[in-house]
Amino acid sequence: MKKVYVIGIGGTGAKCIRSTVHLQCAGAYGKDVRLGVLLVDADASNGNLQSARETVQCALEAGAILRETNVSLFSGPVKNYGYWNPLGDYSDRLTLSDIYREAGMRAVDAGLGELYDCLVSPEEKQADLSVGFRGRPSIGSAVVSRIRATGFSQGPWPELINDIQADCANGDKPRIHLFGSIFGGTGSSGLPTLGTLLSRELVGVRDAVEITASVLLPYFDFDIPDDEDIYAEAKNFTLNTDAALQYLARLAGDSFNCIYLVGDGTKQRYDQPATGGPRQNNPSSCIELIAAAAVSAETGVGYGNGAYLTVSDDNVMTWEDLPGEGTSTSLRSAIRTCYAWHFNLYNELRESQRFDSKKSFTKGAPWFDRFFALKDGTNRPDVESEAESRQIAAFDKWSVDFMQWIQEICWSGSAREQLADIRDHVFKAYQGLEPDTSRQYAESLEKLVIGQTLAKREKWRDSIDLLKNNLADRKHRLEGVIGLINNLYEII
Amino acid sequence: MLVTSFMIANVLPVALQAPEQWAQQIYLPSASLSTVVYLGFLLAWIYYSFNKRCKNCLEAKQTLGLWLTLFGMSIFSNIVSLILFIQFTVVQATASQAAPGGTLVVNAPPYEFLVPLTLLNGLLLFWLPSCFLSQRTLRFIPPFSYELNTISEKR
Repeated sequence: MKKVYVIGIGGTGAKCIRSTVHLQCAGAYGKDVRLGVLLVDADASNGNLQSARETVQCALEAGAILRETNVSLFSGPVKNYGYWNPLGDYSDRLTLSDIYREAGMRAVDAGLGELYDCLVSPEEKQADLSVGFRGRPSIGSAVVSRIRATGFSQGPWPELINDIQADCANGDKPRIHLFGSIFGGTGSSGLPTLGTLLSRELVGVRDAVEITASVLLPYFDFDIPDDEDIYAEAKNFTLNTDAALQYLARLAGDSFNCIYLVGDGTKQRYDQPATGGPRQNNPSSCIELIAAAAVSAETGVGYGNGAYLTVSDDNVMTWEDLPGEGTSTSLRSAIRTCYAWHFNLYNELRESQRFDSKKSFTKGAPWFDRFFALKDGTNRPDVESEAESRQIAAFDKWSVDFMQWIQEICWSGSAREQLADIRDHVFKAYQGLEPDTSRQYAESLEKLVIGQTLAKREKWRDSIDLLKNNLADRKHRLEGVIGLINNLYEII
Repeated sequence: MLVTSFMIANVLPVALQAPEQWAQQIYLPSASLSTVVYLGFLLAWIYYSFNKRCKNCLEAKQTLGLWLTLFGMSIFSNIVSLILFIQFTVVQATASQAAPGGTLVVNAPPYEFLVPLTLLNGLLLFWLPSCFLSQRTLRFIPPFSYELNTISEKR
């Protein structure tokens, strides 16, 4: 089994983690890949971080009860290493002066205090860092580099390092992939620093470990937020990027086996910017999807030790822009499966649970008895059992999150929808056990995936009804909800 | 059709002066026409079930109404066809020593047998084939088609 450890640094890193976890659940990295996930951010309340944590949680819950060997969806396990805050356990207001104990530093060495005055402006000294590094890499690197003193002994790091070393001892070749923007604060300071420090920490097994990174160049733009004095400014992005790239090239480049620079000529615009906190929850972007897909790109094969990944067309992303063998195919299948589930199969299953006679239900739904028992005492699972109900709820929760995510990506194109046409739908998880009346039944998948044309003999795949009929035509090795969604994914 | 015609002529105790001629000249043409109509309705149902796209189970089950309508119409057309042939055909008995030129026979139709035979025709020519020939999502819509299909195929 291939082991991949992904570390998302900062708000953009967290958004890339969201994409990575969805790709892993969709089977885009292959059936035999274990994904370890760690989130790094100084701003525990950051909206992007919270969204990523929710996605990881959804994937863990769904994976725990839907995982089966040799299937496509949820075949690869996800291990959550949790979240690490470079500021430590400080929960109250924290400034750079608090971290470096400014008063004590001046008392010990006045010259050091003056150097500190030179490097850090008075506003930066007093800025509250509990909402992140405010788009200032200088603040971030000063904080993140303090991990050197702890030797990766705090938080989730010991477990992560132990697992990587155990993989190497077992003869595996684990891959560590870091995500972060290079134009903001946390990512641009944390990514090169952590990559370098991890490389040094794993020096004994360095040859057996691949360290790669998806570095996101400025891909969005926003107005000045009105919430704080010290804020991230889009005008600084180019300057930050230049400095961070120079640092990567001169000092940190050797620590990475391959660095993927990811960007887009057209910047997405965020209407309601916020510098950290729960309000900083921006919609997902196609650039993050490309960054996440880079996890499956082989280092050194066609890319050397660095590559620039972007969309081939300035205005819209196409399926061919996604790196990695099979990424596009898996993602397309997952979109169609989740769409068919959300707008058809979920309510069908809930409806079947309300039927007293399951045989009566299967007379109008011939696929049903291929996966579920019509009466007690048969080998197939009972659709009304608690186990099946939990599987329905878990998959639905994940698929709602998946559809929200892919919808945001589809809308992130500057010209029009891209990859898939999922307009006019609001995806909300449903808690009840009865059919969700807010979901209108859909039958056609014809216009869902943009740029996918099926051969005439395969047109049946555009109809949910015909797909269900295909499922009804033969027996399946896997039954129950797991069998239903995986067999649908395979033929869709 | 031929079997039921044979039964009327030779097996069933019908109160007809010339049962063989009656079966030949009234029942057989009527049954031939009815069979064509039954097959027409059956093909219409098969075509409909092949092309129908159902969003969900309830929508599929609603098509039972259409199936019952077609079934009813096919039986009704069988009855109409019988009535037309009974009303407008005069049975010509074959020549005999008593009547070398043949005779015209007026018969009271054997309704006590025609009604069940019509229903039997409906079952054999529409219901049974539709149980096995219905397509896709509507494959189990004809009554008892699920039970019949699961006899031949373990699902």
